[in-house]
Amino acid sequence: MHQLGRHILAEIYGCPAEVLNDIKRVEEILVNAALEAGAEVREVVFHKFSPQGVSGVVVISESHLAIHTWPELGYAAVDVFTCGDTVNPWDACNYITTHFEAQNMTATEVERGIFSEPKQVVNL
Amino acid sequence: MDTLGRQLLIELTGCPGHLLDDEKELEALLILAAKQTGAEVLQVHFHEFEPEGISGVVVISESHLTIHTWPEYGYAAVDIFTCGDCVDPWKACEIINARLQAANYTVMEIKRGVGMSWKKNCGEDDTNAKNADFV
Repeated sequence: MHQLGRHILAEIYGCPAEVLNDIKRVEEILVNAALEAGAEVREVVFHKFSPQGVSGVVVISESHLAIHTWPELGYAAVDVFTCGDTVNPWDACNYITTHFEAQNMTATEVERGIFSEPKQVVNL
Repeated sequence: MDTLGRQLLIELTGCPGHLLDDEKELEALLILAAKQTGAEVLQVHFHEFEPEGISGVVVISESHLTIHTWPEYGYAAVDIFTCGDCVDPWKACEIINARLQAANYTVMEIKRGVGMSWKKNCGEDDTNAKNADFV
């Protein structure tokens, strides 16, 4: 089985509101997370909402990282999508969780672009 | 149960390779798809890889759309993340699937921020979305 990409969807809870609402800090953490994972950063697109919240995407050669924050809830939705074998998306995910000072984190990894030969299923 | 956002992970296979390698067309398609959901487009960034393949993101005030294509496999990975009840990610999904002529596709819908109480009603003055400042 061959997968083209790995996609982690992380739910990050219990983060300090001031961190989640600081666009510069959120951007810095995401960019550093991409570098931590060994990715090459291509473009950084961040946006601050009024009165609160930050959305941003870091485009990397190996796909992307995205974040949406709800400071009032201490919550951030993070996606880390990487392709290739040189980058480990979990390194980025763990870096983000640590630097957002999260109390809890749940994450799911989804394999993207799976191509496999049809298999004969045998009923045991 | 309240959720903050809905995210569609779309796997498109069997697409004609040339459709997946046309940066301008894909950019126009994702912007159109975003607008189709009723979203407000904030920023757009697309990138063409050598020898082939496109990556693109469209940041909307209601979250984001992304695409990564592998023309050599006829494959595209598309994500549509929307928050709030006013935008429907499935509308964007339909238009992208149709335009890229996928022979097969699968869609996984994932709810994000489940159990969080944050509610906005369509038509109300939504300061989060409307008073956004460009950075």
